[in-house]
Amino acid sequence: MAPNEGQSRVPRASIPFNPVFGWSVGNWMEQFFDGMKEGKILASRCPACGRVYLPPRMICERCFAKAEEWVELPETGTVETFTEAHVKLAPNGTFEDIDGPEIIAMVKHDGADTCIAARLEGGGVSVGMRVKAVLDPSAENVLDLLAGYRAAE
Amino acid sequence: MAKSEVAVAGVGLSKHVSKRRDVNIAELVWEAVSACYENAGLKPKDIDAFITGNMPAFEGVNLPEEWGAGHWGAYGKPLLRITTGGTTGGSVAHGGYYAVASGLYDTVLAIAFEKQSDGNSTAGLNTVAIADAAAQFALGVDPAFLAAFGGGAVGVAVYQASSYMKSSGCTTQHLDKVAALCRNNAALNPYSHLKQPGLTPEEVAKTVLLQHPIRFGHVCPATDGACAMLFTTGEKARRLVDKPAYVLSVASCSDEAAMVGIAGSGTTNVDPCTQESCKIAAARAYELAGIKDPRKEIDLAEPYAPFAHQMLMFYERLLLCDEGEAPAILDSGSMNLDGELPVCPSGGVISTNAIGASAMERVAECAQQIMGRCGERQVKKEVHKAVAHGWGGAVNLNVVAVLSDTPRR
Ligand SMILES: [Zn+2]
Repeated sequence: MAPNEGQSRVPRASIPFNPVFGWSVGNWMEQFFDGMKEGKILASRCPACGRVYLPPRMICERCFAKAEEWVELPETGTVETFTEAHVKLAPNGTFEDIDGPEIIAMVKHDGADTCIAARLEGGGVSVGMRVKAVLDPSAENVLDLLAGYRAAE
Repeated sequence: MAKSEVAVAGVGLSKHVSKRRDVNIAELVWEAVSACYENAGLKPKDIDAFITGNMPAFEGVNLPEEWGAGHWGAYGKPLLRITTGGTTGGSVAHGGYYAVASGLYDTVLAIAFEKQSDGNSTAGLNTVAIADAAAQFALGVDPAFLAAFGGGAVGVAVYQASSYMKSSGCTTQHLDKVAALCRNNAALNPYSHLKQPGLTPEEVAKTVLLQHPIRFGHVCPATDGACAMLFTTGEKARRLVDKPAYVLSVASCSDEAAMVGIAGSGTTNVDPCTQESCKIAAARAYELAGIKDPRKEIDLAEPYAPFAHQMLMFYERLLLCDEGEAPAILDSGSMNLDGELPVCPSGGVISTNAIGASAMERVAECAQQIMGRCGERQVKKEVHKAVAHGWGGAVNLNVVAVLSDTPRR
């Protein structure tokens, strides 16, 4: 048998494999979403070092303290960094053009020490740009409660 | 052979239930970890290194330790993940032992967990089975048939149960009895999952027959839970707690691999109930521990038994009696909490199975029984030496640890 000849003789079979995963977002993120439904942006603060986490998390990793102080932050923040997407991946694995560039920005809310990643509506993004959250408290899916950001006046 | 003394100075467990939807993986494991810190009177700054593990693919989260490590106190510390299938928790405990015994670290936190409700455990098991299943497909075996009837957790146990029952004389009544014994022990354990106080063998016998000879009542539940153990030097352990549990030895042994081979639940070419690698690992562990006659010197056993027959089968393979004797020993009452050699005082894996944590929880139960911290399920006799076991890998790995109330001389 010539090298690789056997490959053509090997039958191919598919295995039915449709796993479903459903990850718990966790206690702290549930409280964040509950706040969002009321139009509030809730962050968790470490009682030991004062670091403010948005999105909130249970443990301040630097102090191993439970970040269980909740603080409501304003809707405004600053773009720390960003990218513009020009193509998307098509189901067949090739690139497809999108209508206009989509901006994904890392936004640090006023009063927060960490960033949140979200879509920025409108153009003209720059590092240091002042932005404002666009909330949609009526969204059916909790992940859509924070619709994105747009330039602050 | 390592000369240094290694001891367990703390154990922490999370609540164990079927679905912890209120917390994410990092938060669930934190419960066990923070309990362990409290239990040992330590803080993350006192820990030199972290070792963690869970089943690959079960939650669909790869590198869960990178997500959770900071929640467990590992920020800025060495971190290592070990994952070996059903034996994972045992291997993680072995890792904790190795790290201290080697002299590289004084104090190590070992963490094992599973949050089955987040994922799809059958899919996870299938990814473990692929290597062996591929050969079957080439022979024309229908993958859908294998997935539906040959695979899954029950699939790997039924062939083994049949052959064990044939070779040992174990009857279905013995299986019912094992389940009742374990679930009654579990009822006394605040960290167990299936608590069935007063459950009788007759009630177990009425549960649905899943696949011959295994009934629903003979099978473990799917559990969300976590376990953490603090391994440190004997010297430091004595400073931390009144009565540390010394780890005298660990040993593991890998057998031939096969998930859906001829035997279906062990190795390709041998009877799946022989578990030669368990006997080899046990003999090695006893030798390292300086134990000459395990039948006389071992006071308590925590074999890894998600299925009823395995408690008896592994009791034999851990060299605690002759082959075929375990069913009669069960009948004698010796395996009860007040017996001569209590088995699965925790309630065992058949009552609680957060898979990645399960083999560690065997070691943790031995440690806590030695430390006298088991409350209502504390066995009647004084525990000087205990043996903990795990079974997993591609159902071909056995891990054994021997713990004691006195350090190795
Ligand atoms: Zn902090």
